Amino acid sequence: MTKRGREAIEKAEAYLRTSRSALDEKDAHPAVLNMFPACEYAANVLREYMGDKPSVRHDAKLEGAKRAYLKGLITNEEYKAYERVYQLKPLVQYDPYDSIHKTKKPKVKIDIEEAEELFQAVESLVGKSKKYA
Amino acid sequence: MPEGKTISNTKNLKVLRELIMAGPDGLSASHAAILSGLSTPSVFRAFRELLELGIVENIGSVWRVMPGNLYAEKAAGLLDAERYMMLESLVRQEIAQVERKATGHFGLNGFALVAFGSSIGEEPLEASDIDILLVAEDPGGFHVDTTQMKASLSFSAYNEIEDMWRAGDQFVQTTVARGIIIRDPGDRLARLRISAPRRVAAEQTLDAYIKSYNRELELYSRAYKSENWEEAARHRVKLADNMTRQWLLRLKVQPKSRTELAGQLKTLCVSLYNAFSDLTREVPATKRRAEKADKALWRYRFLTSLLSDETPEFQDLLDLLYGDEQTAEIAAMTFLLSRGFQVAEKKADMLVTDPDSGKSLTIEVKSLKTGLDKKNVGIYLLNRAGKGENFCLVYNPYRDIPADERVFSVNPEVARRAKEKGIRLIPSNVFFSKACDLLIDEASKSEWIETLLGFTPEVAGKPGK
Repeated sequence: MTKRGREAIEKAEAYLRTSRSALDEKDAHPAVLNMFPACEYAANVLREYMGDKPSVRHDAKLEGAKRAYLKGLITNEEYKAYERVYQLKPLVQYDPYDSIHKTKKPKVKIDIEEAEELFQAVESLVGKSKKYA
Repeated sequence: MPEGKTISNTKNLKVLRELIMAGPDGLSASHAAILSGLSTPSVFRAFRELLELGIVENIGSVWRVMPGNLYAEKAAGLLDAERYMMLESLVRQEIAQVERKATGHFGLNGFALVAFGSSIGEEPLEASDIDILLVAEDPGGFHVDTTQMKASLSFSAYNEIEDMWRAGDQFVQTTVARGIIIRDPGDRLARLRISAPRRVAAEQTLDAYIKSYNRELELYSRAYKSENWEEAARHRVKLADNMTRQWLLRLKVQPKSRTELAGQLKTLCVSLYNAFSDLTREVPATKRRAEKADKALWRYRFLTSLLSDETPEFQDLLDLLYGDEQTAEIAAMTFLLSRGFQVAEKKADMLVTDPDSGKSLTIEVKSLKTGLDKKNVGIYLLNRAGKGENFCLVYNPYRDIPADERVFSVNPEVARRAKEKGIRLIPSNVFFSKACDLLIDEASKSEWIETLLGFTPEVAGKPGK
């Protein structure tokens, strides 16, 4: 395992712990929000394994995960979970102004069951990428 | 158009920009001079030219944009366009992506867009989030993924924005008044900015900050407990930001964007500024750093609570900043007595002694509507000031202007004459900051006296004729 790979996995696991803790308190939005960096750290590990450099671009990391899926490094379920978290991220983002103004956010429903399912798949994605770090 | 009078004269535009930002409450000439960086005579010239063009009006000493003036609304758009062009390309790219997607979704005239927050502040931050307010009748399920995913969207309908503005919602007023209006069909937001009275509901705003603080604290604690140092650091910065905003609001100062908060603190309380800078400095997210920063966070919490209305002496310090001459003088005396100094009154001065060390100084407090950056004001005060050993003239300049926006520097000629006469000039922000140090036990009474006696004011401007 490279130093960079180890650090990336450690950080991904830290985000998973925070996400788990939010799920335990039935707090779905921060749970999903914390899955996002976990997916991204895992995706950069996969990119490096496939010969690319780690990227700071969100779209490049997601695209890396897609290639990893097409190469059979991760499962379709794991990739789809990442894609869903990617879609949800701007909607679940906690905005410190939320409580200050009452503007409407687009209606988004994330129930705790879906968040739990996503968590299982993202945890598995991080576990997989650990093998390639 | 009257001969020689134009809007596009740079000085006129600078002044107009500040008047537009100030809204219908307007500005005095000296306040406009401070904000625009122009001299007061230049501001008066600009006011007069804009008045002749029918763009501004004056009521007593206050100048403001003529409500409903079509050209002022257009000029506001031009000034926003200039600010937009100055943004870094990444920020512009993200905003443009949102704008394109919104045009496809709502139609060309179906929405307004305002960029706000630290990414477009006076000193733009390398943006972690680009805050955008989208105003449309029915935002529905509009959603956008920008390349960097930095765009953070808030949604509202026009009537909601107007209602919230009327109710004194600080978020809406700051966003529309200080943000960059990117799209505004029918100039509805520009009109709001120029003509709608601004009355921030301070208590309501403070309550909202407290609520937001509690949620942030919950998220911080969760990240910290799960040893997610990176996430904990992110929430720690937001908590520091929130506490600073609360503190400034209690000081009757409108908090600005995140990057400007440090500057506001530095003007008013150096100890808090140092603690805030420590907390928000970017450092590697390790366990050791996180533990250290956690202690710093609680210390900051403690300091901001101590320097608030929870401490009765703090009210005296506020009176020193905002009160008229007599109120400011009484406030200084009451404060010093409460901190254990011996204070003896003699005419307009007070002899302040530390009973432990025996060190003493004489203080005279002057609360002013103008500043010592004006030579004539300074010389007048020096001629009238008392005398004596260790004499300090505490001057509180521009008392009608928010404390973070004042000019505390001294005209060089005034500084020279004060030195000649052995008078130490102490600006009220420094007195306030050092007084805060006494409250939080950062300085002993004897150190406090020494610091004031050793203080040299900042000098700026031309000596004048």
